[in-house]
This record gives sequence, C-alpha cells and structure tokens, in this order.
Amino acid sequence: MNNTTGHTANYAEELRKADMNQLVETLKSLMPVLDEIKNAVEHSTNKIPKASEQLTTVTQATESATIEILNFLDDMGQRIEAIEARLKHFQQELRRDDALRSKVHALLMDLSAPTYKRYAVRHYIDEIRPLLEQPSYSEQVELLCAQLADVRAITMNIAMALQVQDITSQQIDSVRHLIDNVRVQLSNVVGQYNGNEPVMQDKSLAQKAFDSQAVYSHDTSRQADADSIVAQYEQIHLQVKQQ
Amino acid sequence: MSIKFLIVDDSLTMRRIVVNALKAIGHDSVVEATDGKDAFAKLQTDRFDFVITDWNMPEMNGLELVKAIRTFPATADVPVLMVTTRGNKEDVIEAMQARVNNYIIKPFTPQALKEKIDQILKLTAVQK
Repeated sequence: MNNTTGHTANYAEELRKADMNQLVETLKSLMPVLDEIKNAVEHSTNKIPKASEQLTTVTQATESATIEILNFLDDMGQRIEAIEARLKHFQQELRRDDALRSKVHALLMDLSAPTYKRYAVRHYIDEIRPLLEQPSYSEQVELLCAQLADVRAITMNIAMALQVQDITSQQIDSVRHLIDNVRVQLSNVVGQYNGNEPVMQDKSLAQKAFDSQAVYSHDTSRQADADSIVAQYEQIHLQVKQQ
Repeated sequence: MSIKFLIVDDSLTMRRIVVNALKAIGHDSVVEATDGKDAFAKLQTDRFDFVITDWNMPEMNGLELVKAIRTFPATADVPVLMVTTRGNKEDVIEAMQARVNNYIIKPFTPQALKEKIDQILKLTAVQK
C-alpha cells in the first residue's frame, strides 16, 4: 500500500465519521419532533374511540326513535281501521234510516187516506220501532270523536319522537369536533416539521354549541333527579320569601 | 287569559316541536328566537309572560340568557323553563342557581311540558 492509497483510505474514513456524526445530530434534533408526533398520535388515537362510541349512540338513538315511530304508526293504523269500521256501520244505519224515512212518509200518506185503506199502519209502526231503539247518533259521534282524539295524540307522540333529530345532531357535532381536533393536531405537528403555517379549527364548528353527552332515552330517573333538585330550590325560595 | 310564550332554541326542529306541543295544550301565542341573544333582544322590545329556553346555543347560551333576564328589571320576574339535553345533577343545580323556574330534560312529553308550565304558573301566582 503506497502513501496516496493510505491518505485516500483515511480521508474516506473521516468522511464516514463526519457523515455518521451528522446523522446522529440529525436524529437527535428529530427526537423532540418524533416525541411530539408520538404525543399527537397518542392523543388523537384516544379521541377516535370516543368519536366511534358517539357515532354508535347516534345509530342507537335513530334506531330507537324509528322503532318508536313505527310502533306509533302501527297503533294509529289500527285505530284508523276501527274508525273506518265504525263509520261503515254508521253508514249502514243511515241507509236504514233513509229506508225508514220513506216508510214514515208512506205512513203519513196512509194516515191521510180514507180509513178503509189504513191497513198498513200497524205494519209500518212495527218497522219504524227499531229506529227508536238504536243508540243515538250523538253517542256514536262522541265515540268517533274520542277515537279521533286518540289518533291526534299519537301524531303528537310521533312529533315528540322527532326530538331525536336535535339530540343526534348534537352527538354528531361532538364527533365532528373530535375529528377536527385530531386533524388540527396532526396537521400542526407535520406542518411544524415542514415549516407550514399553523392549521386552525374549522370556523363553522367553532360556532357550534352542543352537548356531547346528549342522549335519546325515555329513562325517567334523570328527570326525577332534576325534579327533586327543583323542589329543594323552590322550598328554599319560599322560605326566603316568607322571611 | 292568553299567555304569550317566547321559545328559544337554535334547532328549528325543536322550536317546531315545542310550538306544536304548546298548541296541543291550548297555548297559541308563541314567538320564536334562535339563540339567547335573539331572545334577549326580543324581550327588550316586547312583553312575554313565559320563556322556554334550550341551554346549548351559539352566541348567548340558555344559562347566560337566564342570568340576563334576571338582571334586567323589566324581565326579572318572567318565568323561565329550561328544556335541555343536559341531564347531570350539576347542570340542574347550576340552572337553579341562575334562577330558572323549572327544568325539563329532552326528550320530553307534552304532558311533562304541561305539568311544568302549570306548576310554574301556580307557584308564581302564589308568590305574587
């Protein structure tokens, strides 16, 4: 091995050392960035299951309200059928009344006829009697009104079940908020490394007001708790007023 | 006597549901507001006998609205019913401390709405 070859080998060795040092320095400078990425990813991955869980509650709420509405519709359908049957029956009675009315007319004509022709009076009276014996129309109309009021109450129940829209929209806004947080956090970590401008939260979401814990439930215990707190405060207010 | 209601909710669906429920129990005089700020502006220019408000709303939320109502002399005694999804005990206490008259957790029934309105009107009549 001559001198030139020896120098070249040393030079190459020094270059390799310098490259290695530079690599180590670069890796050291990357450590805080990697830590930040790790934290951001950890933070974000904690939020994703929560978002997923909230989407599940949205599905459950819409399903529960849909079933509720379908049940109300079934009930309403049955009541409408009952009203139709009553109306058909009512129509038959009215037809019979029409027939009886024409008989009453014939009877009156008969009464004004010469006595020897009044042979049908007895017969007509027997036929007219059922008209007097049937339940009154006002009673039947009252029953129909009551059945229609039940149907109206069911339509109100359907309207109330649509509160699910307000509740699920709050749950979805909460999920959108979580997802946007993840987007902002990850974009800012990557952007910081690339020297980009910081990413801001979606303005339309920033203006939203929502309850992340909104639930569609007919469990009455929460309302009972609220009522008991309200009663305690009412008692306090009354005592203060009396003093 | 006709009671004039102010319904405050940022959800169009909820405003419509509350208005329908009120009509079903015989209350036809209703004005709507989309948030606390809108409601407070209406309260300053018009007279209302009863306020039904949501809690979570943009601009001014229901709790801030109640505090504003109680601070403003012309509205300080107007009955307020909070109708909200917030069902924690701490929320109810916070609302009562802000001096709402009663509290309903969504989803509610027309019967519950009627009961609370009647209860408030009866109590405010006694207190007067």
